[in-house]
Amino acid sequence: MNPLVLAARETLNMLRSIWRNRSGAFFTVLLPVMFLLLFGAIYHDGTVQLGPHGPQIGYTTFFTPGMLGMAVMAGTFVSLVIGLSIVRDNGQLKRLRGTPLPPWAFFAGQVLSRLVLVAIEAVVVARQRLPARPPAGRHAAGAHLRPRARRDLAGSAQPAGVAGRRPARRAADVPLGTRLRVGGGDHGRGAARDHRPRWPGPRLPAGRVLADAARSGR
Amino acid sequence: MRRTLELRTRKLRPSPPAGRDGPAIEVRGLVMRYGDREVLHGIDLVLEQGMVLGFLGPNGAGKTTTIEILEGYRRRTAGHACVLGLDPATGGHELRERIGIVLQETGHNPDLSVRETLRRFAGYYRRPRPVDEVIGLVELQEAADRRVRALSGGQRRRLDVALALVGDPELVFLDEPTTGFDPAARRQAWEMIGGLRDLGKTILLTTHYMDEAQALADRVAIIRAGRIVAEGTPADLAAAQRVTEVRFTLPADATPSDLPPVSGAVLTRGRDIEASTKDPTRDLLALTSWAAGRGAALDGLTVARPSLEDIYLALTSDQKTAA
Repeated sequence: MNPLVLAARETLNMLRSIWRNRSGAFFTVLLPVMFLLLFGAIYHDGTVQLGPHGPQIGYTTFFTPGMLGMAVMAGTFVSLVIGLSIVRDNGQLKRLRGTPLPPWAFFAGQVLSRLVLVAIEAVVVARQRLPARPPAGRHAAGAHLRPRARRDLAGSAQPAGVAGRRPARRAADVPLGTRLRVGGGDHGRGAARDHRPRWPGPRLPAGRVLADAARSGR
Repeated sequence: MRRTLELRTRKLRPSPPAGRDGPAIEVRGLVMRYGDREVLHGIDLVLEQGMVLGFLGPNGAGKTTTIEILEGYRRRTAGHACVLGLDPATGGHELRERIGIVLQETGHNPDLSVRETLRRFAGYYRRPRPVDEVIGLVELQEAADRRVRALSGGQRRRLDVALALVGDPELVFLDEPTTGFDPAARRQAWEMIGGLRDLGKTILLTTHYMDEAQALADRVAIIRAGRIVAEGTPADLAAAQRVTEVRFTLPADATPSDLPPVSGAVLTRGRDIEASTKDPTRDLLALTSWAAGRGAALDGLTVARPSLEDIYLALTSDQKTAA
């Protein structure tokens, strides 16, 4: 048997069993997404100042790469180490050692299956990202999102709010500053706030506090 | 792609491995040391092709160590070992193509089904047996699409055996294959192992059940404290002991001291007498004429060759006191 075919089959078998193992699927795939949604809901009004003169970006934008990093590490290092410890402990490795399967094909299957998993997860997490915060004046470039990402990430609540106010414009054309700016801020356009899309989650003071802290630290 | 690879493989191994017609297993002077502790003190063992060898011995005697050396899991310290014409320490891939292993306690991937697991393992071998045929061989048809997680203990053990058979091996190692089975499942397993012998497989079987060895094994080897203390067919072993057990109940009016002298050891348990004699003809005559002379009967009189269990216990406990 071609060892490359063997490695590919091992990969598929691993993916199948990871997918069927609910606790494994939860901790590697769903948990980072849940964290992202949870923190996004709590801090959705927050902004983060990047450096003393850098752009101001939304807290969720700031948060997403970290979440993605956590997801990648949980899905690769952690899952691989725990998974290998388990198969070693319950004797699966010993059983495989008694077959003609080359050891590297087994390990290739373990590694490749995690890479596939993480790639899927990265797409899921990136698509779950929430709208960026208002651009900070001339640093607006930092907050621009691709239209597609904006549509996906903002969720169903966003287009409804925007469309109600400016029916002629597509959501993607709405300037971020108008659409997403935190109400009562230094731009003096508080009136726009009521029409601003709401992310369907709890609005906790913590988010406001963090946003204020971020702004005052500018 | 696959074809060219096979051709290349054939070019690398142009002839079947040497020793295909010799014994399946040949071991001479096998020594194994873990650090300073020597656990095998020079074992000799020969298993001809197509035979079933029962490998018996108490826990810690060195059964599993011996088997794991032959399976290629451990490297021996000294001695000669030859499995299917290959050295198990270096036989590697070629050896693993031709043997099937049922280990004592090994896990499965719990999230694959029986059929998926077998299909996965079948892919490892050059000439696997059809998966459905193997499922039929171990009678797992009704559980074939169930996840391994949901199988009963007996079904998992049968899956173990199925995984050992899916590569169509010439030699099968069965390390306590029926431990934990209920009596009916054990009988089924025996039938299955008998079926393997009929397929022409050579089998090395370890077990703690003497009836299992008696039912399945063509030859028996008993290991104790790292040494083979007896080897042969079960009948040979019984003959080698040259002991016959005579059992009866003492007549009501007699005491053990009234019994005529017999050649072997006499064991008294209440009124039950158990005599191990090396000369059953003469001793039986003495006992029965003694009883007839008193006008009494020897109730429950039985004369029997020792069972494999008796031999096993005699061999392993004698040695223990001697050592």
